[in-house]
Amino acid sequence: MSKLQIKFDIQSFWHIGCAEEGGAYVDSLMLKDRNGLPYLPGRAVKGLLRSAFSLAESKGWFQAPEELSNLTDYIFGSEGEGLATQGLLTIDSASLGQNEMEFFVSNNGAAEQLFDVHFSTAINENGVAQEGSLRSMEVAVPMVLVCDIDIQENSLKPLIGVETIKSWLKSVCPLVSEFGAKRTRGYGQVVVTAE
Amino acid sequence: MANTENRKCTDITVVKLVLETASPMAINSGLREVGFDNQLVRDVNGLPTIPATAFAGVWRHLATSTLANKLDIDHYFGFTSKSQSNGAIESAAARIVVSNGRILDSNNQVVENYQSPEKIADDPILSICLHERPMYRERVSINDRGVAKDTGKFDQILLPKGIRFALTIKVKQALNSDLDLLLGVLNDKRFALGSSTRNGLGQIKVVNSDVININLAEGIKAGERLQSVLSQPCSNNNDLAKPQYHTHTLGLLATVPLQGLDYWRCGRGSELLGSVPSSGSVGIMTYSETCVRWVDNKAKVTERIPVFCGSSIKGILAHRIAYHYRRHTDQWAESMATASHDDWQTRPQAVNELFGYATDGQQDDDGAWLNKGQAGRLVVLDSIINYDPENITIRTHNTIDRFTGGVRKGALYSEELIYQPTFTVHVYITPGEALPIELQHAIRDTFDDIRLGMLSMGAGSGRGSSAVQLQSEQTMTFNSHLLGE
Repeated sequence: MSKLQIKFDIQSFWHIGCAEEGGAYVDSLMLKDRNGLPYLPGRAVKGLLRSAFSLAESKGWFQAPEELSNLTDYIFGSEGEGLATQGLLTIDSASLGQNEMEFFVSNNGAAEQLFDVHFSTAINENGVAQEGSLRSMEVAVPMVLVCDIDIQENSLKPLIGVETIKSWLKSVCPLVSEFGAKRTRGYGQVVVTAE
Repeated sequence: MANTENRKCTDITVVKLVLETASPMAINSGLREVGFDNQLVRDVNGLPTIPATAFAGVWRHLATSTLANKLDIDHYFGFTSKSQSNGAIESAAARIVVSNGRILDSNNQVVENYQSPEKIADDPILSICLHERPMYRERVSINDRGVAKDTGKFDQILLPKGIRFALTIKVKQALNSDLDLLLGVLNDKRFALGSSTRNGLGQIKVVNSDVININLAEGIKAGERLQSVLSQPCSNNNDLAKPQYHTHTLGLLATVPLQGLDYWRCGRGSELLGSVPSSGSVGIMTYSETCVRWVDNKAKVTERIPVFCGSSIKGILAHRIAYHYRRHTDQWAESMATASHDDWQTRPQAVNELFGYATDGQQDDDGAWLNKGQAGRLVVLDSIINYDPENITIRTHNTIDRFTGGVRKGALYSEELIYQPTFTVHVYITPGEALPIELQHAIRDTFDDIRLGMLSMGAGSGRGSSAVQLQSEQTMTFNSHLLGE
């Protein structure tokens, strides 16, 4: 097994929703951990990396063994209507560094400074604000999140070395430049690097 | 061959932009500042920013109005809609990714997140922008009797002219021909951000731009290049100035070079243009504001410059056009003898659509919102006032008691006037359906009035301090074909 640490250097406000609304406070709340701190869930990290890896594979970045028809499925696993297979990665959630977490846990109320509320409205075809379109979203401030990825070797049918997979994952990190809700509209701008 | 090149699809195109506010901008957070009607939207440093949602919204709106028959707008900007066949929600993510506009400091450098307050306060541009109100304009709507309308007063916080922002656009899988059209929209004169864009606010210009194509088939190095391009600042080039990005969709209806006939004033400023008189303070003065000027990529805050605000000019035009329109449609005062005060101060509908209007929200029987508001088609820009600093005077006024003929107590006041200043009024009209013929006549008559010196352009028209004439050896241009002939 080999470990890879991914760093998400978030450059803008960002939002990962928890599918709950906050009444009069806000229409969409942020996902928070048990200490009230924002984090990027492991499944979201995996989705981002998988999407980037799939794009890179389609562009011929990797020399995979001939017997592998789908490199992305082999590394990340697959599910759906076909045969479900387990991938080679175990991905943690991306969270604040240990020191920062301790600071926010020990300083009551400090975590509130990590959030803001943004409002937006839609403009209709007449060029004026559309009635009933005002909405609000809780967002987190720019920060650095880190997560660990464990890469295992396929014990049944080893086709690719762990170090090769590690280097491939590192190489696709630059393809992830935004994440989360409204990622195409200025939220979740990120620089992702791997060590 | 060129056509084949245009049909090419680029994996990722990154467009780096440096935008400059070409007029004050009111881009708001949706909240209110104490004592003001709006609050500027700000980044994590507390500095003003351009939200990507605002930028993309204006871009999409203009692209839809000009390019809808040439390319699939939803394909690039994304969509969510309800299927008409089964009611299911259909959606697609946007292929255009826009970042927020980040403010540049006085050395033309992007301000990174979490800068120390001391560092921001040391910068002459950032320190101004850090204020809750970097600048503000007070506006008031005038009714048919020439006095302020009830609830017609606005206190608007603004960002000064000349502030620069860096913004990045990433476009995935776009045909080169489509991309040229889409990027051309950014040069459209109508591309204005924030509120009151028809009154000259929110105008932007592209100062620098890089258009960088990234071909992912080049392998791992393409990924590294993408990350590097997204992180590095925009160069000093302007790729969007190239011919394929030119666009002309907003019509210049009129250019009117004017000069004050005598001593002249506009607006209501807060600081004198000349020196403080020995008699003490001055009650009324011309509106003036500072702005930011860039020389060799270094920014400086200018002295106060008098400005004839677009909203003032638009208000004057609106009143005279409404007057002529009523004349051409036989709406005479005698027929409104019993009309209510509200009816008197309501513009004719045709004039309202030309100048734009807003209404309070109304719902239909099913609870759906009825969108009754309409953005206007006339765009009037601010005019910079050119004047000779030597020719400023303070005029003192008194009020005479009508019964005694003596001076009324406490009625002494003074105003600062500029002698024969020059300025040019620019009026644009957005493309659309032909205007009603009576309205076309009313607009022509109004500009004839200006040409003949029969329409006061400025403030204090009752005292003659806003009389204007055409500048000597200059001619007015008026493109009447834009009205829909």
